[in-house]
Amino acid sequence: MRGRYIFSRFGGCMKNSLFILLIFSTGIAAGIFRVLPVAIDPNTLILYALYALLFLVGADIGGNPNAWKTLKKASFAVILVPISIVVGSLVGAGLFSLLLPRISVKDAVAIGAGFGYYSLSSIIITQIKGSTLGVIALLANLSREIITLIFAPLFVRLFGKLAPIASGGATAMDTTLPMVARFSGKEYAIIAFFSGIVLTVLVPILVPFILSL
Amino acid sequence: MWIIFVFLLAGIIVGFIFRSQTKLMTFSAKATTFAVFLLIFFLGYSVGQNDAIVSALGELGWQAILLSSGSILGSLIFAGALYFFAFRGLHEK
Repeated sequence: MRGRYIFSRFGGCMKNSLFILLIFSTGIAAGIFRVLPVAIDPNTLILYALYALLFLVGADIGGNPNAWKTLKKASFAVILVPISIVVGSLVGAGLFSLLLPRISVKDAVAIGAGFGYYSLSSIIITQIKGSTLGVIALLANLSREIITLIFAPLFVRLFGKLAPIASGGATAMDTTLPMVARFSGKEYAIIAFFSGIVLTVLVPILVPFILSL
Repeated sequence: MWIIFVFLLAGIIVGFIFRSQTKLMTFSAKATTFAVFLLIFFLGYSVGQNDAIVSALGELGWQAILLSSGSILGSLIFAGALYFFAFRGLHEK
C-alpha cells in the first residue's frame, strides 16, 4: 500500500492485494532458487526500502492538504473511531492468539497493531523479531485488507456503518475507502479518511513500542 | 527503532514544506509504490532463502488468518458499539 493512490487508478481493489501476494510469492520463489548473487543481502535492501518507505509515507501525509483539514475538523465522536479500532484490534489479536500456542500474546498484539498496513508493519516486525513473525504479520495484515474488500457489505449489516472503517484499519484512507463510500455512505468517507490517517501514523509508533514491552 | 520516527517525521516535514508542488507529490506517490514492491519482493526473497519458514508457510498462513480475524472482529465489536451509541441516526434522514 501507500502509493495505493496510484494503484487505485488501475481500478479493481482486489487486484491490488492479489498483485502484492503475487510479488511476495515471486520473491519466495526467487529466494528458494537463490537467483540473486550471494553478495546481495536482501535484509540490507529491506532496511533501505523501509527507510525510503517511511520517508515517503510521511511526505504523503505531510503534503496532503486534506489530511490537515480533516484532522483539524474532527469532532469528539469522530476521534473515538480510531481509538475504538485500536483497542478492538489489539484486544482481538491478543485474545485469538490464545488459540495459537506458538505465538505469544505480545507478538500477536504487535501484529494486530499493523491495522492492515502490511508493508510497514511486516518490515518493522521482521527487523525486530525475525522473518517468521514478519511473514505472519505480512499475511495477517494483507488478509485484513482482502477480508474488508470482500465482506464490507456484510459487516455494515451486522455492525453498523463504521464497520468497514474498522475492519479496513489503516487502509480505510485509500484502498478500502471506496467500500466505505459505497456501503456506509459518502458522509462516512471523511471519517474513514481521518481514522485511516491516525492509524497509519500509529503503526510505526505502536508496533516497536509493543514489541519493546 | 528510534530511527523509524526520524524518517517518518522527516518525511512529514519535507512533505508539508513541498505540499504545493504537485509534480513532486505525484513522483513521491509513484516512488512509494515502487518502494513497496521492492520491499515485498525482498521480504519474499529472504523468506524463500529460509528453508524452515518455507516448509512452514501453510501453517504460518493459517495463523495469520486467525490473527487477522481476531483483530477484525475486535475492531468491529468496539466500533459497532461506538456506532450504536454515538452515530446511529446521526446521518440518516
